[in-house]
Order: sequence, then C-alpha cells, then structure tokens
Amino acid sequence: MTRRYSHALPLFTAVLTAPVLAQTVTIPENSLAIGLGLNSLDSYRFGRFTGITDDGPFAAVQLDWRSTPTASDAGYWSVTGRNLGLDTGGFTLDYGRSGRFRFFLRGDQLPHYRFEDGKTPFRGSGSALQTLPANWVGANSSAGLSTLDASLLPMQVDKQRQRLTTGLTMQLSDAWQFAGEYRHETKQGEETLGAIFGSTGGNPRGALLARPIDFETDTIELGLNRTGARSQYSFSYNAMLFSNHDASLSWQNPFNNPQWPSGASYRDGAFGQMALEPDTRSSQLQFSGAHTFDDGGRLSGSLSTTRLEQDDRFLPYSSALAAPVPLPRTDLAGRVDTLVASLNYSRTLSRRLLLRLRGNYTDCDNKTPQALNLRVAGDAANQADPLSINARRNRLYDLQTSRIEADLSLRLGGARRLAFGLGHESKDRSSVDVARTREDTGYLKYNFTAGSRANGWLKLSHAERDATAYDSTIPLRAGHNPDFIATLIGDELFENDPFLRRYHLTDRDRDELSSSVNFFPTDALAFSVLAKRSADDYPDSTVGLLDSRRRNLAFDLSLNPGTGWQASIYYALDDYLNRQAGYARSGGGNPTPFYPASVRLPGNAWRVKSTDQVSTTGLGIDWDLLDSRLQLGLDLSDADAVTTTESASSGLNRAPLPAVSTLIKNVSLTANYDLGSDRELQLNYYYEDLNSSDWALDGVTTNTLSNVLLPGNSSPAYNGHLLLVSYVLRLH
Amino acid sequence: MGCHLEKRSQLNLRSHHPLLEGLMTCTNCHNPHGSDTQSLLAKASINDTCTECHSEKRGPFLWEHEPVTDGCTNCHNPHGSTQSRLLSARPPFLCQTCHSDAFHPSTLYSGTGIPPAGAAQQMLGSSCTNCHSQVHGSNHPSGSRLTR
Repeated sequence: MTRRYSHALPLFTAVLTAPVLAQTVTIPENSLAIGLGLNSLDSYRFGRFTGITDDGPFAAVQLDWRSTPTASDAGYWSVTGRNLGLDTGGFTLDYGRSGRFRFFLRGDQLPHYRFEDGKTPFRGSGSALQTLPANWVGANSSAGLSTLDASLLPMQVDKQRQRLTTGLTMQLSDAWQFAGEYRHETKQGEETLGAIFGSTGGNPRGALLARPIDFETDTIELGLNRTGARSQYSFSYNAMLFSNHDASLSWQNPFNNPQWPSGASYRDGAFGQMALEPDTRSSQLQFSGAHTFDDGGRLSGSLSTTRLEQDDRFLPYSSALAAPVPLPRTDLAGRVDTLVASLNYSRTLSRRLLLRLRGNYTDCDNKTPQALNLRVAGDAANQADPLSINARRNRLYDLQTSRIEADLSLRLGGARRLAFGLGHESKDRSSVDVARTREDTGYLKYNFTAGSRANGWLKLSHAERDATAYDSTIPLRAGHNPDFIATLIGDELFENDPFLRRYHLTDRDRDELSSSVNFFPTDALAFSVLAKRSADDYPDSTVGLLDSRRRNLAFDLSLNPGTGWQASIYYALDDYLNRQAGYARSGGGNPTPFYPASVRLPGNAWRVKSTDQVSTTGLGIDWDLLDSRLQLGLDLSDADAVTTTESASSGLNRAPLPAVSTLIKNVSLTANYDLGSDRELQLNYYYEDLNSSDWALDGVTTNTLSNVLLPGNSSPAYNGHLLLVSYVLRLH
Repeated sequence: MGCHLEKRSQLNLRSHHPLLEGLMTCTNCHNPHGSDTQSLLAKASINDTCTECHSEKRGPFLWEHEPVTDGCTNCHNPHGSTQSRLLSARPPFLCQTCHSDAFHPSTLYSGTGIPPAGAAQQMLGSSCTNCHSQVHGSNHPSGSRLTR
C-alpha cells in the first residue's frame, strides 16, 4: 500500500514542475527514505522554491510511520516527515480516536529565493539600518559617485516562511463538534524596496535596497458546529495578529545636492527613513447555517463581522530635518469594520428543473480618523504649507457590495443539460472617481454526454458594468485641505487626466465564449480540447485601458493500453492583449493643460499595445516493468512566453522596445526499483534549461540610472541538473 | 487541473505560486465544495484570501492605495503571469492605466527610455516602484505618494 505525497522530496517537487502532472512520486506507507543528491548549479532561481541553491551534495530524509488499524481499537496515530534536512522540510503528527477526537501538529516551510547577483554599496544590506562606507564620496547623481564601484558588496534577496499549526477536533455529542486550530508563522529574509531621498525638479534620489523581512503572524480559529438530520449550523471565532519586528528602514543618503537644505545631504550625515508594515490585529465572529426543507429545498447562509485595527506609533515627518508643525496624531487608530452576509437557496422544482438563488452583501466601513498631514517630500525638503498640494488628508475607502444571482438548470433528454443564469452586482465606493457601479451578468451553458465516448460543454456569458457619473475631482477633494481646494480653479482640480477612466471603476462590456470536449474513442485513448475567448471593452475610455483580449486553446491526449505503460501529451497556446491610451502632459514650466478637451494637442496622444504569447508543450510516459518491480516515469516540458510592447504617437519621440521572453525546458526522470525484503531504491533526475531576457534588467548596472542606485541583477539564464538516489526501508 | 486547462498554462509561467512545486494546492485558496464567493474562494473575499498568507499587506495604512483595498486582482493574476510578482501587465504601463497626471505619469515610455538610447527610472529596475515602493500602502506621515 502506498500513499501519494504532494510534498515529496525537493527533487520530487522539481519533478512536479514538469507539465505532465499525472506523474507524482509515491512512497510506501510505514517506510523510511534516506536520499543523497547532487546539484550541479549554484543558482537562486534554479532552487527558488526547493531551497537547493548551492551546487554540490545534499541529503534529505522522509518518514511515514503509522499505526495499524484493528477492528477492536478505534485509536490511530501517524508520524510523517518530508524533505527533512532541507529548506522545504516539514512534519505532521496525528493522534486520534475515530468518532471521538483528533489532534495534530504540523510544521511547514516555504522558501523563496529571488536573486543573488545584486550589488549594493550599503553596509548592513538586509537590515533595518544601512550605512555607506567611510570613504564614500557623495554627488548629485550616480555618475559622480566616484567610490561606488569600489564600494559594492554582494546583495541577495530571499525569504523563508515557517509555519507551525496545531489543531484539535472533538465530538462533544452526537450532534455537537468542537474544532480549534492555532497557527504561528514566521517570515524572515529580505525584499527589495525603493528608498527615496529628496528630489530636484521632481527627480528623486534614491536606491533600491534589500529591506529586512521579519514578520510573525499568529492565527487562532475556534468553532462549534451542530449537525442534525436536516439542519447544520456553526459559530466560529477567528483572530489574527500580525507583527513586524522592524518598524522602519533607515539608510544613509548617498547623494549631495546644492538645492537641498543644510542637513539633508550625504556631507551632512543625513539618513532617510521609511515606515515598514505596521502591526495589525483582526478578529471575526461568524455564524453559518443550513436547513433542508420537506420539499427538498435547501436554505443556507452566513453572517460575519470582522474588525481590523492598527495603532503603530508614527515616525516623524522627516528624520533629517526638523518639521516645525508637529504631527496631528501619534498613531493612526486605524479601524475597519466589515460585515458580510450571504443567503443561498436551492430547490429541485421538478424532475428536470433545478433552481438556485444566491445573495451576498458586504459592507467594508473604514472608521479610521482623518487628519491633515503636512508632508515632507523625501527627507530633504521643507515641510508643506497647510494651503499647498503637499498638505494631505488620509482618504477613507469604504466599499459596499451587493450581489444577487439566479440560476436555472434544465435536464434535457439523453444526459444533456441546459443552464441559464442572471446576476446583478452593485458597488458603492467613497473617495474615488465613481460613487457607484452596477454590473449585470448573464450566461447560457449547455452540457452534453454522448454515450460513454464523448462529453463536453459550451458556455456563453456577457456582462455589462455601468458607472455613475465619473468625477475626477473627487480624489483630490477627498485627500486635501478643503481650504486649499477652494483656491483651485479649472484644470487644477484634477490630480489625474480628467479623460482617464480607471478600468476597475468605469463602464465595461465583457464577453466570454468557452467550450470543452472530451473524447474517449477507445477504452485506452482519451482526447480533450479546451477553447476559450474573452474580451473586455471599456467604451468610455479615451485615456487608460481601452480593451483586453484573452484566448486560450489546449489539447490533451492520453493513452493507457493497460499493458504496463501509459503516456500523455499536451499542448496549450495562450494569447493576452491589452490596449491602452495616454496623453503626455509635460514640457517646460507651464505645460499645456489637460482640460478642456479643446486645448489638447493631438500630437501628445499615445497608444500602447502589449501582447503576451505563451505556448506550453508536455509529454509524459510511465512504464511498469519486471512484473512491477521497476517503475519508470519520464516527463518533458517546454514553456515559452514572449511579451511584446508596441507604441504609437503622431507627435511624441519614441523607439521600439525589445521583447521580454522566458523560455523554460525541463526533463524529469524517476525510477523506483523493488529490491525485495521490504527495500526499495528510488532514483530521480531533473534537468532545467531556462533562458530569459528583460529590458528592465539586462545590461543595467548599479549606476545606469542617474538618480536611483539599482542592484544590477540580470534576468536569469542557466541549465542545471539535480540527481537524487534514495534508499527506502519498510518499517514494521 | 483536468477541467481548468488554462490555469495549468498560467501555473507554468515565470511568475507563479508554488503549486506545481508541491508547496501549495488549489485548496489553499479555493473551496471546491462550495463558497459564498464567485470563484469558490476559501475566504469571504479576494483580499481576505490573499492576506491569509500575505498578512503584512492587510493594513489599514495611513495612506491606502485604493485599488489594493478594492481587490488584489486589480493588479495581480494569482494563477501566474509573464511579469514578475504575478502582475497582470508590465509596469510602467500597468500603472499608467490608472495614473496619468502631468509630467512622468503621462509620459509615453518606449525604447527611448532603455539603454543605449536612454535610462528612464520609470522603466529600469523596478520601474515605478523604484520610487513609489509602498504600493500596498504607507504608514509614514509623509508617505501620501507611497514613497515612504
């Protein structure tokens, strides 16, 4: 008897990156597997989710040990370990008595290695305080930083998530059950973060740093459930506490600038400071229930209320310069209350007709107090005047969503079914350009089965979203001092192009046509096709997203002649297209206004078309040889993705952009050989060849930008081999 | 995956959650047995589902970014993307679908902004987030432009 593991050894997880997902690695129950492996490549990307980032040998252990079920004893226990000794290692302890209780303790790890080829002049990279070397020479731009090259140190970015979960379920009586779970998660490592200091003429000076990640999240879930013959209901409580052990990031300003006030430049020993994610806490109470009526109708619903709070102490306006006007508050006292209610009803109206009704209401109410903050732009600027654009009031984004849906399913003759559905959604928002959007949706779906040799479906759907009046002055009014707003006229009242229509707020027509057909010409052969096309149009947009198109086509063929081998092959082609428009408003100290339309210059209008083309091909073969003593599996895959961006304008300077591409090929081979006497030998081999290009990274060094220091990491390109041999011993 | 073949393709893209690597499963985010949400999400909303693991992005922040509050999928495709960080389109063009103020937000970015023709800080490195790095929200009193 064997058990399938989705969390197998890291090599096995690599195997799963092969496109043929049917192939998973099996290990026997009650067994101990000791594996020794070899990695050919020193690469963060190659080992980004496995944690095997260093070339050379590695070892991993996996364990499955469990009690033997007996007719006289309802108790059971199990101990499992996977990938022990590696970054992906985990374990599960399980103990219980059937029908009485179950207790478990589980540990999981999830690494994420991003890149290791970055460079930075900062000492303490990855920490909350980052400084420059003593011989640093400050300048107004990166070209003048004469000691930069000699100061560079390696910069890597990776994270490790570790989670410990424990839970208990108890059957309190025939009807009542208790369930409790507690999770403690830590996330540690680094992430990139742009750290900006000062500016001249709207051009900030800064550096992309490796910031520290040191998070803890504690979650507790408690539930009481009652299960009756016709009714089920539950009460639950959920709480989450998030803690960030680094409240801020401070870094030494690498730049000097004659326009900045005294005390703000490198020569003054100035430090910049950013606020990192604040500690938050949330608690939720929920009731849910369901009841089945005599006529077969079923009513279910839930009601939950959630409170989310945050009161971390604010940092000062500026760490470099004194701000004459103090902060309006010492902390946010942030609070968001969310109410969610849902009600569902379904009933079989006749032998052929099924009705489903669904309703959902969500009210997200931001009760955070508002205040006027006199910001300091960067750390090298004077504090804003209360009657200026830089005096900002925090906006509160409330969101109320109501949705109702109705579906009718009609069973036709010959195992065919026709379904029809309508829906309506209304969203009310505050502090944004549109107060309310309404969306009506409808679909028609036809399912068929042609004997045992074919089945499939065809679905057509349409949705129309309408927005109330689009008022681009609302965000500016909501986020600034009303006394300052009163001084503005005409074009000054917009903080965005007034002809822009933000795609999640404006009118939208959405059409989708999809179909899938499965053929089974013989018992050994199966063939599937999926085709899908969707289109989003934004009819009111003259600036912003104009339309999006999605096309997906996939073929699957599998062969299982029942003679000790099986094979499958698939091919998928996906196209994604976005078209957007813009209007360049720039140049000089008095650029041509956006508004009204009559003053706009046709030559300043531009369009961009972005296209993703993705093709994925996979082949998988499994063999069962030597009277099942030897099992072989081979997977090959090829995934090519190319992004192109084309621009057009009659009057603006522009040039073609090269394509961005990622080409991945991989091969995985697995072999299990039964040595007899409860022993097994497993061999796993994985090969990956990745080539990518990205104009944002390739050829870009630390000082390519004149105002922002970059890590200079490049897009990945490599080929790597991973080999693992495991000796498996059955436990008794 | 047998019925959601387009999702299988997305999971093979350069930026994806580690499902194919066996470190996550579909049920981390979806409840196949039924849910009150349209995509059978395991939690009450898209944001509640995402912040179950990305709790640091939950807020509330002093300066919120409205599309984030509205829904993570305004900018991210959780099943996979050709762009880094599961972004649904490439910056700066993604950002410019919502931001077109005077000067750099409204500028047409093209091959003139990359070497050897030029070096625009809105295109290279992390694009717009070279400076507007607190794109999920800022708690700094001077962070209204999501730069602090």
